[in-house]
Amino acid sequence: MQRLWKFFSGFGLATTLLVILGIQTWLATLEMVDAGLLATLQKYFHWSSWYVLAKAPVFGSDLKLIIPMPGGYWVCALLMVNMILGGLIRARKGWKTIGVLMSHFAIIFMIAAGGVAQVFEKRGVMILFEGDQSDYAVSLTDPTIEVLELDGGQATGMVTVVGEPELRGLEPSDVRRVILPDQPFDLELTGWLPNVAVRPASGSQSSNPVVDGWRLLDLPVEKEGELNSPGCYARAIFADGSKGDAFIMAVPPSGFIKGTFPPQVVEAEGRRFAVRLAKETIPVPFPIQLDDAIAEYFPNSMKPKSFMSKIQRIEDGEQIKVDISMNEPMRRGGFTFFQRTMSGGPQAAGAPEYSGLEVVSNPADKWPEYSLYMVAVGLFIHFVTKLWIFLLGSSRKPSKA
Amino acid sequence: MNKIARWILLVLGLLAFAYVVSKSYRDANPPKEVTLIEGYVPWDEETLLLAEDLPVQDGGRIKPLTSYAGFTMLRLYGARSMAVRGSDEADPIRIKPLAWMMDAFFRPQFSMQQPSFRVDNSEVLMAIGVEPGERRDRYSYQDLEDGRDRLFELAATYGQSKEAGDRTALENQVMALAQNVQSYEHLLGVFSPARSGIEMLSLDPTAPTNQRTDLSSVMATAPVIRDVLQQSQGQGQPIPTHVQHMLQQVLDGANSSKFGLFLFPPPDEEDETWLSPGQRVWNVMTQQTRDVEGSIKDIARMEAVARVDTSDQEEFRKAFTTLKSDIVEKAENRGEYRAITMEAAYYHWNWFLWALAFFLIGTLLAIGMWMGAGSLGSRILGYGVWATTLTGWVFVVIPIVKRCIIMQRPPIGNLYDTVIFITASVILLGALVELMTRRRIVLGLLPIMGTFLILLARLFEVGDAKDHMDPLVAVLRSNYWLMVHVVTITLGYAAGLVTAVISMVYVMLRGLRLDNGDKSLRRSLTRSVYGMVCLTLFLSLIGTVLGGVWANDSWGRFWGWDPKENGALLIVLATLVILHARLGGFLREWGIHLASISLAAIVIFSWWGVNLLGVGLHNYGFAEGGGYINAVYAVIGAFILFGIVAMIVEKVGEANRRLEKKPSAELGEPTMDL
Repeated sequence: MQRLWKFFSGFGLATTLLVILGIQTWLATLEMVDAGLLATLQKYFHWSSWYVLAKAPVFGSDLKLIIPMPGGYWVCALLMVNMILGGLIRARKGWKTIGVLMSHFAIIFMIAAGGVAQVFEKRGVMILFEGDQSDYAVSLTDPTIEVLELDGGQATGMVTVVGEPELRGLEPSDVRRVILPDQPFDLELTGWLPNVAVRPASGSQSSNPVVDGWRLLDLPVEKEGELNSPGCYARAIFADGSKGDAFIMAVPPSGFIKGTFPPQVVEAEGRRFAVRLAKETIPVPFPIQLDDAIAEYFPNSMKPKSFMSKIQRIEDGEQIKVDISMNEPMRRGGFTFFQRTMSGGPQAAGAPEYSGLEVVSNPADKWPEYSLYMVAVGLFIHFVTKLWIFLLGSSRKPSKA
Repeated sequence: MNKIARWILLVLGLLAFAYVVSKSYRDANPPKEVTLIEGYVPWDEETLLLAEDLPVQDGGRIKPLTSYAGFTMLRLYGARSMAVRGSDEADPIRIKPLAWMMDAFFRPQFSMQQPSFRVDNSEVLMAIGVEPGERRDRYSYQDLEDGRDRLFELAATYGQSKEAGDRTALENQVMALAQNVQSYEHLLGVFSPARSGIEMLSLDPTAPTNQRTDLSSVMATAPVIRDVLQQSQGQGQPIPTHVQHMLQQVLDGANSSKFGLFLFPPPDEEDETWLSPGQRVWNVMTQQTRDVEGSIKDIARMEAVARVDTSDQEEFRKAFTTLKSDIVEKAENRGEYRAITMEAAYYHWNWFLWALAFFLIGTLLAIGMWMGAGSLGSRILGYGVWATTLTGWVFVVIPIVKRCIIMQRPPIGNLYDTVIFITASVILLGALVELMTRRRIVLGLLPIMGTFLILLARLFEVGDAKDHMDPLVAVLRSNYWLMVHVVTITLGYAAGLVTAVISMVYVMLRGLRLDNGDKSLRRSLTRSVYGMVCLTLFLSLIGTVLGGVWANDSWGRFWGWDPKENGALLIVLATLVILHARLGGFLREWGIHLASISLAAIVIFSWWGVNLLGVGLHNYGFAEGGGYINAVYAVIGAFILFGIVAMIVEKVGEANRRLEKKPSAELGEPTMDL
């Protein structure tokens, strides 16, 4: 027990984990050039990755060495344990170590902020044309299945949403049953593809199955994960175990491309349901109206000078005017609204103007900032103390020998 | 042995230093060849002084003509000066950027013979049907003229058919040359219509010659011309030939002088967009301006300058002064002339060249100081190193301060800014370490580091050929964050580099036994390195987290695994590894120094390496130059390798000595202690 305690709270483990984390960060940085950011992060730092087969470059050649390593998420978790045990509990307590203790606590707090963000953060984009109003954002990456009962063609009741965790890790060869709580049927998903377009069977070159004259067309997986539109084949599994006809589900392509594939209708127990695959909808507790999207460019150049959205936040019937610009987000109701995109450029005068606001809900939003203050004070105290001791030391004078 | 090693090291060090300096000089300077341009005479210094602070708009800001000329010449020619001679017997004349641009404006007959275009790959010329010279050579506009149409044709094809990332290197070079030739033609076109005027077809078909008139006179008759056009259109008749001929010349003139120089402040105080001569002409002819009178006067002043015989420099200056003083007055009234003279003086003084000179002198003094260590002469030379290094430092700090005043922002906003800021920081941090240790080891390193860093700045400026004082893009326009985050993280780079260089010296001193086994000196250097690692951690960690807080305000996330962020994190992790391994007893003296040297590689990766990856949101510093960075990695690797070998040799020697002293029965395994 004593040995375990020493191991988990020791400098040896801390050093080893820091070295591993450093190597992983370096290799992930190199790998994201080819694989893209999202895919690299999933591979190296997602909690579901227990181990990583990292690709290390060989100096002076294009060869890559495959190095097995533990998953980055778990390295961080172990490091956190090590810091709590060694950097807080086991560490000497006294005025000489107060700076170190503060710094360790601050870093633990910061890693915890990262963990909270990874689990609870919601992130989407709200695209508004001037004059438009919206009270939701659309996730940049996370697909969901939405099921909605229809009554005479109109939606009725609550939407059943199957979240991204239920769909995570799906591969083209997988067959996965997705449980739909409170609905008279479940879904069986097959042929999951990370980036697709739905095309008429005639004229599209693909070996994917044809359903009602349509088929999924594989598209290359984009490095920027938010540009991918996943799709799959699905069929209903009814309460008696029988299966319905196959149908296609696909996330509408990003941007403003028309002609998206419509939701599919499933009939069960005499009721009709619309089923669709879409990027997750993130509701916002108040509507936002875009009054003016202002993009300024430096004169006689294409260099952006400032992007600003003049909006109205509508709360309890009251319209509050707010300006959101680069580096000046709006924080309200647990959400933060950032200026993300803006229409046109100097050359697009006269085109309809829109603004894209990135909407983020993160309970740990400000934690890193708080930890920054703590770590700054802690390290300052510690290093100034060390410097003082150094200056008082005798080594500054050359020896007579 | 010790003395021999010291001399060998001196010679090797001097050779390496001379190689790096000469290589950097060659890469940043023009070739020695002197181009013959019959009849070429230089501009008077007085004329150039008059022209250097003419305000123009470029890159989104108002700057002196000398800045515009400097970076345009760098982009096209790849250096800030070229040599020509006016006859076979005449002495070479150095043409600097302002003179080069004045030639393009006012003496195109000379300008078109100057070798203004650097072509790095002769295959580009073969592709456009021009006979190439060396593989990497410079060509005049006249040399390229025969292949001009083919060049633009190819560039258009590549531009339309391929994405930037899919083009071959040759295709990119063709497109770059086309862009440069177009930029140059824009320069030629600025004063061309003002100089040539407009040919008026005679209404009398029997008249022997046609008359020429001023462009400004034609502008003054714009309402009459519009009436004639309306009448012709109203009566369904063709536009009279003489009017059509005149309008075509006006249109061509306006187009040719539309892009080369944004010279005129707009009449509207709220409007930030300055106007080119072509826009001035076009706006009058198409009734798009209320300032008709002002526009005509501007063009008339240009005509007065353009038509002076430039061999009469005094007369030229008079006309130029009239043109300039009106523009300056308008710029002053708009508050846009604030830092123009300061910026012109900034380039005139060439501060960094002076700093380089002082650092080079300091380097030579430092070598003498080290060679005579312990003597009175060494102490005196030490004062010399202090004096030259601090003077060089002042010559780095002054331009940094001037740049801040000119740009109205904190000192760092792009990769070039980081180089000069790190130069100043390295000297300052190193000087503080020297004051604390007083060993004259770190002191001697300072001018050497200063020299390398100034050369790096010069090399990067020439290679990048961009005006690094131009305004920053929207997301970076936050003086608060630039000050607190970027400055802190850059100081962290500087601290990391100082740390590594001290360790390199430690490894050399101990490995070659140049320190005579002085344990006090070793301990002093180790403590310095330990302290600098702590400082690096402090600055890098605070800077990184501040960057996260900024990113959270700008992009909505604290950490985005952007390569630049990862680079900063790597420095933090490396310093944490060193400190924890030291505390855990895994690294002793050799170990901490070898680890500290590897910190340099991580700093270089974070500072330069990630820019070569071409991904990420920190787009202020994409650069080329992977070869140079790999060379730096190789040098760092060589130091580490040497250190490991030296450590093993030392440990084995110690073990053997212990073996010799102790009876064999007491022997244990020799231990390897890092």
